[in-house]
Amino acid sequence: MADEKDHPNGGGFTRRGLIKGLATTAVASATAGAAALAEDRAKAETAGAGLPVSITLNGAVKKGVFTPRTTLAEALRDAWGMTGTKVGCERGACGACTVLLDGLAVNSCLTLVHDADGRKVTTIEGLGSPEAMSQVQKAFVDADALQCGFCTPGMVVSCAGLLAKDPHPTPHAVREAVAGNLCRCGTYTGVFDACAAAAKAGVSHG
Amino acid sequence: MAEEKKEKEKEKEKEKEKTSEKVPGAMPAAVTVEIGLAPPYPSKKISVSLSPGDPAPYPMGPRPVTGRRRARLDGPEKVTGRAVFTHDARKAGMLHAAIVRSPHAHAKIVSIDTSAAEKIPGVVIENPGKKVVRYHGEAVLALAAPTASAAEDALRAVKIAYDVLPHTVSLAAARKEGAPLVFQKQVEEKRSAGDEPGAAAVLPQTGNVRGPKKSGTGDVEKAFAEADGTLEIVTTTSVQTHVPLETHSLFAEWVGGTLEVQASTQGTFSVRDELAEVFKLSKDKVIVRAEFTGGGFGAKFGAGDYGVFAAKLAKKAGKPVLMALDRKGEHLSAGNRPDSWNRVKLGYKKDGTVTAADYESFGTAGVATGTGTGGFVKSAYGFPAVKVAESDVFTHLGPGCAMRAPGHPQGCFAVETALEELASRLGMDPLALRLKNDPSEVRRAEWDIGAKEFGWSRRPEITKANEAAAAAGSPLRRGLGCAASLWYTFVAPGSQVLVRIHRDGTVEVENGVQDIGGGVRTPIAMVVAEEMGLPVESLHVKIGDSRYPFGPASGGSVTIGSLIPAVRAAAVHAREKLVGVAAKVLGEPESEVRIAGGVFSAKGKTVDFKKVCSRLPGETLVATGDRAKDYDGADTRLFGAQFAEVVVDVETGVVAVKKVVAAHDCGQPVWKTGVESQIRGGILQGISYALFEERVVDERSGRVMNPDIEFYKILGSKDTPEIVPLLVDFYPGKNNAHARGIGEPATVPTAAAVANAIAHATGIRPTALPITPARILALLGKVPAQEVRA
Repeated sequence: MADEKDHPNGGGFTRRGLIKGLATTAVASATAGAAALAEDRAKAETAGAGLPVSITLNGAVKKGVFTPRTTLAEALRDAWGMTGTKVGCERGACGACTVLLDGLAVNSCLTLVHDADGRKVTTIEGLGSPEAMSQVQKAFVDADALQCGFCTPGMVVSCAGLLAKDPHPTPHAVREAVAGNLCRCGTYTGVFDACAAAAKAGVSHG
Repeated sequence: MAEEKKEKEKEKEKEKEKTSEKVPGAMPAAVTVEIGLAPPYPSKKISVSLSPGDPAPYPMGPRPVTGRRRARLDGPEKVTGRAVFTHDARKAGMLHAAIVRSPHAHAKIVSIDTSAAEKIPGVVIENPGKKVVRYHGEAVLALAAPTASAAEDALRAVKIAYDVLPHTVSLAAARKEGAPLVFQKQVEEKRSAGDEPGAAAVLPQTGNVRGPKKSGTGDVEKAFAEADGTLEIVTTTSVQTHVPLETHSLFAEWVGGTLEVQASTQGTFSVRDELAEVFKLSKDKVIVRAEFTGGGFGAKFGAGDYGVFAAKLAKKAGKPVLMALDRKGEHLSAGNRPDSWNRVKLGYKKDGTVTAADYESFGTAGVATGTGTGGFVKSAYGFPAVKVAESDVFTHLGPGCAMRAPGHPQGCFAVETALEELASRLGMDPLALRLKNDPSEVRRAEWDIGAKEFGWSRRPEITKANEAAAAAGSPLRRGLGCAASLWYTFVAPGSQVLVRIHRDGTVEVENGVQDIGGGVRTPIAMVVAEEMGLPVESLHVKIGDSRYPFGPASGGSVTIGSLIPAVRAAAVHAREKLVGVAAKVLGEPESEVRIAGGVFSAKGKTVDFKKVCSRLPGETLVATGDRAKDYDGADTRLFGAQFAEVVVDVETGVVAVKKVVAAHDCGQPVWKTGVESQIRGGILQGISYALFEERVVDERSGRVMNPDIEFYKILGSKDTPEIVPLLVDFYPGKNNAHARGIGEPATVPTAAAVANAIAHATGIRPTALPITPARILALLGKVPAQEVRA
């Protein structure tokens, strides 16, 4: 007979669980301790307790108070309602949550919101809107570089990050830039074409 | 009684006549349809009777809007993050749900203590009181909390005591006598939309083996006796998981006595019907919305255990609840393509003609059924005599379910590997062998255009170049392979479409269908735009809501073929009604009125679309269209021929797929861009299946070792080859738009074509998927062979 009190979720750890443990520097070994800790955390979160964070989000200053364990993806999606950034795996394996942190493409599910404090974050919403799409977004639509659309924001952000640093990427560089973005529908060839077209359009527009 | 009926029918007939008199351009009951491939191929004319109100089918030839490429209508929403998926549902006060899952493959639940979890503020628990779990990852209970993190904390605080029972988790072990039994009782098959028709509900069951289900045609034994030779091979394939980027998810809220749901689903209406049944509600009391679904591939039809949990938790809490599976739960519990063991024996003549096939398959869908792989051998080529025996083997693993062309990539790999072996035994060109055995005119055209585009004739030179490379000590070998596709045209009956025109000229098109990536909004708009002479972008296509008219679940390549004929009927009816209004405005008879480019005209007078709309007799004009029953036409099979080019490094065993050319038929494509995107996607999933995907289970613990996407590898950007989709211009008849699907046939032959290309490059015969470097090196004799799993 096995008692699963420590690992009700099958004995594996989740990334968020790990970060939580590290961030709070408390690893509860007994269920009672874990429950008490969880109780405290929940109270803190409900009461809006935590430490202040100030981020330049898509060009505007955004402030909030977050517990140490909050990820950037959670802050964006849950606190600020910016759900354009998707979460597909919570472990940095799929890239759906990609945002630009000071211009660098990062997985927002692996970035604590406090690590983004004082920095510039650009999300998919910051690149353009349906009414005013960026060059990359427009190129994605033109090349049909999307199907279900769930991986698409992350793909677009990765390509935008690449083009900002390398306006004339080689095909290899494009593949490299989206190597961390998984697409199950199979839109990669469209993504390559879109990125190339956006680079070309960028040139012609000076 | 009978007379009364007759009377009523007569009356109905009269009514029909009246309506057809009123509507200008009403369709005659019997029309001639030209079916077959467009010139230069021969076609034939057949006479069909149309259902009342159904427009006559498209004649051969190009059309102004449909059948062409254009940008996806909802692309701007999807590329800007504006598209709201179920994962994105956010509402004040909502709770996040999570599921406590079994860590064991098989166990009795001794006790469940949720007292500590209940102390966490805001936590709600739904404990169905399960007594036994049968697979690693099976749901035991669900809970919800104000934040996702709090829900995870609560999961950790639940104490469950298990009494671990013996398990069996591999196909081979579960087939053995004395293996721990997964089920004590006879298991009845659950049907899913991807199933072949006529699947048996109850079959003999011995131990964990359910079956065989026997089928076939002709006298196989006699054909073997008369054959010049026979050939037998065994192939195996691994479990593939769907890995939709958006995990299974459902948002539930009770508003009064109504259950309002947002679901990541392939079936708005199947989710509604399941929830209505579970909660004993009338269909109007369950509202399901599915505006955007982040992938499905066969695994997202019903409400699921997770969805029912969400609705129950929402009821208990009196708050909205979002249940989004984590990636681990997705892998373990939300479905997969079963693995397979397939034995195929072919009888053949010296000239390469296959005269008979004896086929046997075993597969495990874990605790579920439906692993048969015999469809391909029966119907792909039409061998004269075929005998099939398919058996399910139960194991203590998560349930398999429909996945893009269920059973067919497996069956195609088995048969196309055998054909490749036969070609090699007879010294024949592999394509010539297939043409020898392929009676389908459509697929013969596909072999032809595919081979030309691909440059199949390079094959002998490449063989020579490989010999030279070997002699020079280079590790790289190039190979070309091909394989045939097969799927079927299924039609989900009952689709209805509503067109609503407002006085300001707004045109809405409503159907409850969901978009799982195929982009169904765009072809709907194109069909309506063409019939009404309006710009595609001007139409407001409303989908993904169970309050709209019924639409098909998207699985088995049914969506377009089931829906588009109803869209066209609705658009034609709307146009006819508008013409009536325009005729009055113009003061000319309806028969004189024409519509093009948003302008109505008659005898030189014109009036624009908006003006006509402003003169509608009511605030809105509503027209509907039904999916009429299929009439006569071409073979209902979907064909396809794919060609793959690979480079194999024989020192490392690494395979790079360089190019795939795919020639397919899907009737008259409505939105060509979308069809081509589907083909690309099917091919990439096929390459992923061929080379990478393998669920790994530890036999000792019964646990899945890679329920994630770090160690369960799916194809990525660097594995993507050049892809050339080709379409034959085909008019199959059957419905008013010659509409057919493409999702399934695009993925069926890819793995087999890649395997055959690897065989050409290396001289080895891969018989197990995925074809990993380790397997290649073992077949080359460079490393010891791995234990065969299945």
